[in-house]
Amino acid sequence: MKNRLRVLRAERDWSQADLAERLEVSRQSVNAIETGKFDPSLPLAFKLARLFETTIEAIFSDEN
Amino acid sequence: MFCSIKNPTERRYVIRMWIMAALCVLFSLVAALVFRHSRPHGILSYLVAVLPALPIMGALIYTGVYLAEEKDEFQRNLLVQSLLGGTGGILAVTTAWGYMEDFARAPHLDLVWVYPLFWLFAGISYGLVRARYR
Amino acid sequence: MESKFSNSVNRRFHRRSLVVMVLYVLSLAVMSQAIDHLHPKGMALYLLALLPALPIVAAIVIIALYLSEQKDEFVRTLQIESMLWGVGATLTVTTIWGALEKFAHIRPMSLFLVYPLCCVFVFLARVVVKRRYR
Repeated sequence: MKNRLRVLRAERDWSQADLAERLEVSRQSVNAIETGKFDPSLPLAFKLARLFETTIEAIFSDEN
Repeated sequence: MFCSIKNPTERRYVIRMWIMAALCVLFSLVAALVFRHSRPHGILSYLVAVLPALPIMGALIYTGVYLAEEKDEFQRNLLVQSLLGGTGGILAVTTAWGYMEDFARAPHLDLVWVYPLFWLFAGISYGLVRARYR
Repeated sequence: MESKFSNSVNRRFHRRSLVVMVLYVLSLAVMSQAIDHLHPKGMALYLLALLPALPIVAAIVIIALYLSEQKDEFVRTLQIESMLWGVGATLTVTTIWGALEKFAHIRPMSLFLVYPLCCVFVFLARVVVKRRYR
């Protein structure tokens, strides 16, 4: 699923490893989500939204 | 060697799996030696024969425990896909070899190899699935 | 648990499975008749013996396709969980049987029975898993 994770990360000057550590997941997982190859579960999506102080819809775009 | 794995859940799983693998080899050697030198009968022979299967069941249980405990859903997904790939692999190989054994007199493959072959195919699948997410 | 959503995927799976089952029975018949009447040797014998294994491999591919096509993630999770339990049981049984074969000299099991055995265990696991969500 398309997302703005890379932009949001860059705004805070976080590497993928930094984000992974804050989310308590592996860097691989962050990469897979960022490149749109893996969709996070609802709890993880909420965690991301809270971390970036925004909503899930502001991060992920579901293009149908 | 194990300190490089940062995720504690994963590290615990890997260590446990190595212990089970070592026990499996050890128990297999013990069982083979017992049968070569003392020729047990009846119930005792069954118990000694089953001995190597115990670490195998332990390994399967630990894998289940890891799948339940791992919070990183992507890592969990990777392992599940690897296990499914391992399953497909051994089911295909045992079926093909089984027919060749029974109908074309191919060399015999012991049933005990199904389990290590499973992990071999699981390992191959893991590499393939990881590559897809590169 | 049938919904309009998952129906087309299930129907496609059942249709493909039926075709493969028919091909399997046919290939078994062809193979056994050909071996009985033509008495092939060498490579021809091996290839003929492999014939029934091909529909089984196709069945495995069909299951993999089903898992990737099934968009209902809840149903897919249940199916995968059943498969993992089924595989675990299959690996345990084949290892114990294999060890007993080698050391306690029980009746050997044909290698191509591993696949049907796995299907039985997966089916049983599915019954248990589905019950949890009634």
